[in-house]
Amino acid sequence: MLEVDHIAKTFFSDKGDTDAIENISIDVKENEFLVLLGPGQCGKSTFLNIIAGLVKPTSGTIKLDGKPITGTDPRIAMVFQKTGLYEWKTAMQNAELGLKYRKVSKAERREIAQKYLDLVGLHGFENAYPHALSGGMKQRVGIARAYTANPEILLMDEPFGALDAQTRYAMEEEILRIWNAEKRTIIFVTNNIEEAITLGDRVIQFTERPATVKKIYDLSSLARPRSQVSPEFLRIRQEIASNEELTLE
Amino acid sequence: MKLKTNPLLEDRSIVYKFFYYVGPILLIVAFLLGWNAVSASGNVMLPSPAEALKRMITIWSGNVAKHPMTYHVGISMRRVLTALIFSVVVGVPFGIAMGWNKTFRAIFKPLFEVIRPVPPIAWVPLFTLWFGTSEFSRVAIITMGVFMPIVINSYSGVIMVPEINFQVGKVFGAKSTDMLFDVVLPSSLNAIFAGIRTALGGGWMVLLASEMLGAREGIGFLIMQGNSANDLTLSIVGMVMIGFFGMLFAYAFDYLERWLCPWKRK
Repeated sequence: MLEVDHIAKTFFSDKGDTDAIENISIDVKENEFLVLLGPGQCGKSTFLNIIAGLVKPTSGTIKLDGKPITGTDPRIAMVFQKTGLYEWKTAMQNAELGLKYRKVSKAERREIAQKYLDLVGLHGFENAYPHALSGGMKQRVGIARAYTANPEILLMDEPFGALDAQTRYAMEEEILRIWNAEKRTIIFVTNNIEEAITLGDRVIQFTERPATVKKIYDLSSLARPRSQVSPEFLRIRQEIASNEELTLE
Repeated sequence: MKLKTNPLLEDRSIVYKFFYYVGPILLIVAFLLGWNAVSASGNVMLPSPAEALKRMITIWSGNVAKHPMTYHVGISMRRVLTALIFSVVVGVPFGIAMGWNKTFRAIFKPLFEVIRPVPPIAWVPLFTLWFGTSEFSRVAIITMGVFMPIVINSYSGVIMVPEINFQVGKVFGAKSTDMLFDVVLPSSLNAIFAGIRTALGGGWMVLLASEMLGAREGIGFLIMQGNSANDLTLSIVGMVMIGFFGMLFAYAFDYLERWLCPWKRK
């Protein structure tokens, strides 16, 4: 279980200090699909980067299975918004990355990466370089790479944000299919209300910057697949939207 | 789902494809025709392409300046290549180290920046004094010309590696050596190759200056020889040789890059 305890983050600079995150505490349940929903630039990506160990919090602690974590951790992997695939590596080599850096033998890591490339639907594209793949396929590689590293927790930072609407819907269904096949804890960041309701067991709504928890919606009773036009879906959508702070920057 | 293909050739008409392949040849033919027209007009002193070609054939079939042409070409290439290989072997690691390690950068960058703007030819008096008009002198001067762009490009290649590449490396457990050899180096290969190409162009330029240093052979020497003996055709033959072999080098490097960077093949 992941415990986020009173995390705050302030960026200090010569032009003045910016409070990005103000006092967030969350308990993430095992194998839960948790969605963090918030307006653009609200600090939710920073929050995810703190869990990933890429950014140090100004105060507060993160505990995984009872022990505090500092810096990156093999039990936590991430799917990046702009995929972050290495363009000089094939789909297979990208997927293997986490195991390669952790010195798993070539045969073993190939076998595991193959399993997840198959799972994300990229069988037959193992030797393709990223430039030859479409946006959706690249993010499939990104998901396979995160799964292959065999983490307990998968962080997803607006992974479908750069995709067109059609591909985005397809990928939302895909990520649910993949998660059902291989249950992990997923923390999924988005600014899209429909995406949040479609995916989450729970949706945590953030305020605008400095980010803090505004409201938590428990959707575990809402059966999947969730139709975006069902009365229940629309009711929740309405409720979340009314709490959303619309800002123009 | 399917893979993407070459957008330059995909779904294009026959006419487009014809110009894609034949266009470059047409342009060279047009250039030769223009050259010929200028020469035939008699307004400027300029041997025609046919004269240059005739002269080239006589030169290639006999000796010029006491040596066969292959000797001149070979020795010039050796000079440029020696300088280039030395600069790649020393300059690429030096540039990468300067981009990768802050301490190394703090120590070496200022000195490097002072030496960089000095034109390579400005070293001629010093090198002649130290090493005489020797082969070593000539290669050293060319090296001053090719070393700098190689170091600078390797350095900028490293400092321009996108932040996300490091984040991905960190999240997936890359150690410092993984980061250097598996992330930074392949990320910067593009810039490094651009540097080698620039260096090669500069190398031919400095070659000419270096062969003014009492050389009795080399393409640059032939061009200077043409100048002093009022033999314009010989100079033009030299220019064509540099152009031709410069092009061969450039294409050879394209192939080398494609071989080293298979992910760029489209």
